[in-house]
Amino acid sequence: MLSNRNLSILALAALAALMVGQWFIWAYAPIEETMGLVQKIFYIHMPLAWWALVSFFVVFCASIRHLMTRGSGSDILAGAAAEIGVLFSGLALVSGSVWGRAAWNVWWTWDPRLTTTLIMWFVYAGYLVLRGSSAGGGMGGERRAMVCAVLGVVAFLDVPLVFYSARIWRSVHPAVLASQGGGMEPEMWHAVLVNLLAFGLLWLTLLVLRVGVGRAEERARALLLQGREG
Amino acid sequence: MMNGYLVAANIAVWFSLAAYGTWLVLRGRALERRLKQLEMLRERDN
Repeated sequence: MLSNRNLSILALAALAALMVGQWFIWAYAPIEETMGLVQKIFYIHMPLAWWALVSFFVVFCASIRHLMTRGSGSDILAGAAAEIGVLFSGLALVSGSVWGRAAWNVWWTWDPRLTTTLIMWFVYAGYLVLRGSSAGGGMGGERRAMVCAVLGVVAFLDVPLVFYSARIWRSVHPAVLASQGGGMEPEMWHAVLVNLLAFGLLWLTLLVLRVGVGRAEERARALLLQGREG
Repeated sequence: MMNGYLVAANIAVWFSLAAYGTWLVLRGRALERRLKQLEMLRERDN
């Protein structure tokens, strides 16, 4: 996918962007009047949630591609994106929960946005369990990839629900993009955008790394099979 | 106390991301070594 040199450049760019993002959070963006410092969780919570949704969109596209072409590349890409999506959405849930404890005085509430996100997390965590289950000799590689691809398409049904839940239903979760400016000052928006970009670079770096690992795993499996048959 | 929440959220996020990134790099290197061994074995057998 990328040479080691290009991957190193991408990783360094991501690291530099994340550091710039931290400067925007702590030095540039003003402290919010009502919530104070704890509002700064938002600058990492939102990019994590956004890139998790992008991950699941990649799973959806790669799964459709796999169903059409049966290529192993799209299966590996779907698995890599799902793993990163589960990590990012899990961290968005955790950081949101900590923010909720400070803002609403509860760690969790069965709000539409939170509930649909939790369901999404469990569905994709199940998808990863299904992918891993074949390693023990359950479903064969090709059959497992097909079943995962179908699940990768069906699971995506929850993603638009997560995105629009705060607007469709009465939700206590702030719908920042739905309202004009989201009640934030321009400097706060700058910090959001810079961190969105920085987490995007981190997401891309992790995805490229994970796809590389997936390809190496597949190659090792093929060589082991050849050895056994030979 | 408010700052405690902020620190907790940041630790959870950055520690998890760093751990995942490190695991990917180490797993990639281990697989590279394994692939070299397997390639050598295949060449020897042929």
